[in-house]
Amino acid sequence: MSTGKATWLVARREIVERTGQRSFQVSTGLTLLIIAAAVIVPSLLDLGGDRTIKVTATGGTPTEIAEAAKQGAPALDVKLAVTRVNTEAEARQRVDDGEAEVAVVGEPARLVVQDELDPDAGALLQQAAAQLTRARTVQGLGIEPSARDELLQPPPLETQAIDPQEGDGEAEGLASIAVILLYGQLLMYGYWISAGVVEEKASRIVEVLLSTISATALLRGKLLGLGILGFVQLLVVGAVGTGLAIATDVLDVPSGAAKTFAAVLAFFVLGYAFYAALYAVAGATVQRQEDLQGSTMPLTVLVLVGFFIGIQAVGNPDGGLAQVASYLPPTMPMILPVRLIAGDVAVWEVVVAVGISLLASALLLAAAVRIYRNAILRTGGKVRILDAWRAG
Amino acid sequence: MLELDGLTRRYGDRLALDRLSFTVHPGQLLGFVGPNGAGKTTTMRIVLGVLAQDAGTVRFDGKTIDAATRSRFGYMPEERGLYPTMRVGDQLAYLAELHGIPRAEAREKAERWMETVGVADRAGSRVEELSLGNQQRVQLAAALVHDPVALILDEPFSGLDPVGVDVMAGVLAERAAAGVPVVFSSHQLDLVERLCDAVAIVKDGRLVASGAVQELRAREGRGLFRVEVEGAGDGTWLERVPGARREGPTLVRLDDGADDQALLDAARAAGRVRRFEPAEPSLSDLFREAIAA
Repeated sequence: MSTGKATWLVARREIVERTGQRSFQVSTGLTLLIIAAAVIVPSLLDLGGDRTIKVTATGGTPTEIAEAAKQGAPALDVKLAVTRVNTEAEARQRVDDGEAEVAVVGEPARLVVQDELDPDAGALLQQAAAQLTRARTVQGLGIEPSARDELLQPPPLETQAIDPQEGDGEAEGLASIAVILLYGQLLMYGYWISAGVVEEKASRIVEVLLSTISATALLRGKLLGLGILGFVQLLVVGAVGTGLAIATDVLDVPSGAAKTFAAVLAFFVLGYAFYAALYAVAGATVQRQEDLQGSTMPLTVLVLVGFFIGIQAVGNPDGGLAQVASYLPPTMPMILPVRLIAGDVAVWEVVVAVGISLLASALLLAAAVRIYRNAILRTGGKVRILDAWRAG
Repeated sequence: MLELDGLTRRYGDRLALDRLSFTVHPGQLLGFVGPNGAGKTTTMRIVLGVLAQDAGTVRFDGKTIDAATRSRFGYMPEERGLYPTMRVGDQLAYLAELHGIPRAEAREKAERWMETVGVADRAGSRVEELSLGNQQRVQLAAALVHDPVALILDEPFSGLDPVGVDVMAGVLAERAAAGVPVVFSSHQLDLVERLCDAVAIVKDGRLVASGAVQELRAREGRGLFRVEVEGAGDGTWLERVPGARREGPTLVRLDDGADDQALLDAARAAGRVRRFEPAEPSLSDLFREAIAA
C-alpha cells in the first residue's frame, strides 16, 4: 500500500475513534459553552453592547430632530431606535404603553415622557433640536455657504494623548479570546498526540502496525488526523461564537469577529505544525501513560510562556517583547494573532515570522520521524532522544 | 516458500543473530524453538520488517521480500498488541484495511474471522472489556484477517486455556493445509511435537538443528537405546561394552558399528533386564541435546 493511502487510513481512524471518545465530546461541549457564555453574558449584562433608547416621533420637525439625534448617540454609548407615527395621540399612547421612552411631537416640537426624561435621550434630542433651529436661522441670514458650514459645524478640538491607549476594548477582548482558544487547543491536541503515541507503544499494537505500514505513515497519519480534528473543532466553535456575537449584537464591528476567527484557525494550523512533532517525540520516548507528564513538561512550559506573552501582548501588542516573541516559533502562534487583531503589524513581519515557523516545523518533523521510528519499539525505560537519533 | 538466509543482527556488541538460515515450505507448520534470548523474536521481527537486519535476506517465493509482500504476511507479536479502547469489529476491519483490503471487504473478513475464533458476539465490545483469553483470540484474528500468504506467530499458545489451544492449533493446521507456510515459536515442546512437521532450534542466535521432526528423530535416535537393568548396582557394567556411552539414567548411545547384541548380553550379565528397546527421542530430548552441544 502507498504511504499516502496508509497515512489517510491512520488519520481516519484517529478522527473516528477520537470523536467517539467522551473526553473529546466533553471538551467540545465545554468550549462551546465558554464561548457562548463569553458572547451572551455581556449582552445580557448590557456591558459589551450599547443601550437602545426607543423614541417615537410624529412627522415633520419632530422626526427630523429624532433622526438628527442619532448622530450623537455613539458618543454616549447608546443607540436610538426611532419609530414614526402619524398623530400626537398615537405617540402619547406609545409612551404610555411603554413602547417608547420618549416621544417628540408638535410644532414647535415638545418632548413627552411617562414620568422622567432619560438624561442621555434628553441631551441628544435637545442638542439635535438646537442644531436644527440654528441651521434654519442661519439659512435665513443669507451668509456664504462656507462660513455657514463653519458656523453650524465647527471643527472639533483635536485631542492629544500623553500616554495613548492602544487599540480599543473590543479588539482587545477578541485578541484575548484568540489567545485562550489557541493555548487550549494546542495544549489539548499536543497531549492527545503524545497520549496516542504512548497508547500504541504501551499496548504493543505498534508492532502489528509497523509490520504492515511504515513508521512515517503511522506518525504522519496520527498528526494529520488529530490536526484535522482540532481544526474542525475550532471551526465549529468559532462559527458558533461568531454567529452568536453577530446575532446578539454585542460587537460594534462584526468584521472584527470574522478576522479573529480566521486568525485563530490559521495560527492553530501553524502552531500545531510546530508542536505536533515535538509531542509525538515526547510520547515515543516513554513507556507508559504515567510518564507523559514528565516528558511533555518542557513543551507545556513553552506553550504556557507563549500564552503569558500573548496575554501580555493584548494590552501592548507592539511592544518589544511581543515583537521579539513573534519571530520565535514556539511563541509565535499565540503572539502574532494578537498583534494582527489588536495591534499594528506590517505584512513583511508576518511573512518573515510565519516563514521562520514553517521552516522550523519542517525540520522538526523530519527529525521527529527519525527519532520516533527508533524509539517506538524500544521497551524498558525512558529512551534518550539522542540515542534514538543516533540509532537511525 | 519462505526462506531466511544468513540473517545477522547485532545489538551494540552483542550478536543476537548469527547467519541464521532456514526454510518454511508451503503448507508446512514449522516450530521455532530455543531458550529465552536465543533470537526467536528478533528473527520474526526482521522477517516482518519491524526490525532491520545487519546482513542476510528474507525471500518469499524466491524473491527478496519488500513492503508490499510483507503487508500480505500475518504476524502475531510476542507481546500482544491491540488498541484497548477500540471495538473488536472496528479494530479487525481497520487492520485488514491497513493490509490493503478494500473497506467493505475488510468488514466482511473481520466478521468471518470473529466467527471462526469465536468472538462474534463481542464485535461491539472494546478490547479491554474482553477476558485475556478472548483478547488472544482477537489477536489471532488480527493476524489472519487479511488472508495472509505466510503466517509468523511469536508464542501464540502462551496464556491460552486448553480450549483456546485447540482453537489456535486448529486454525494453524487449517492454514497450513491451505498451503500457507506457518512459523510459530513456542516453549511448549509437546505441542510443537504434536502440531509441527518441522522444527528449527536456535541457540545464541545460531541455528543448531532444523528439519522435519521425523528425520531429526531418526537421525538423533540412531544407536540410542533405552535400557533398564534391575540389580545392576552402580551401573559400571556399561563401561565394559565397547562403543557404549551413557546419555541419561536409562539412555545408552552406541557408536556407529558397535554391536547392540553385545550391549544386551552385558546387560543380562549385569542383572535382570526390565527394558531394552531402540529409543525414539522426544522433541524435548532433541532440544536438550541440541542446546547442550
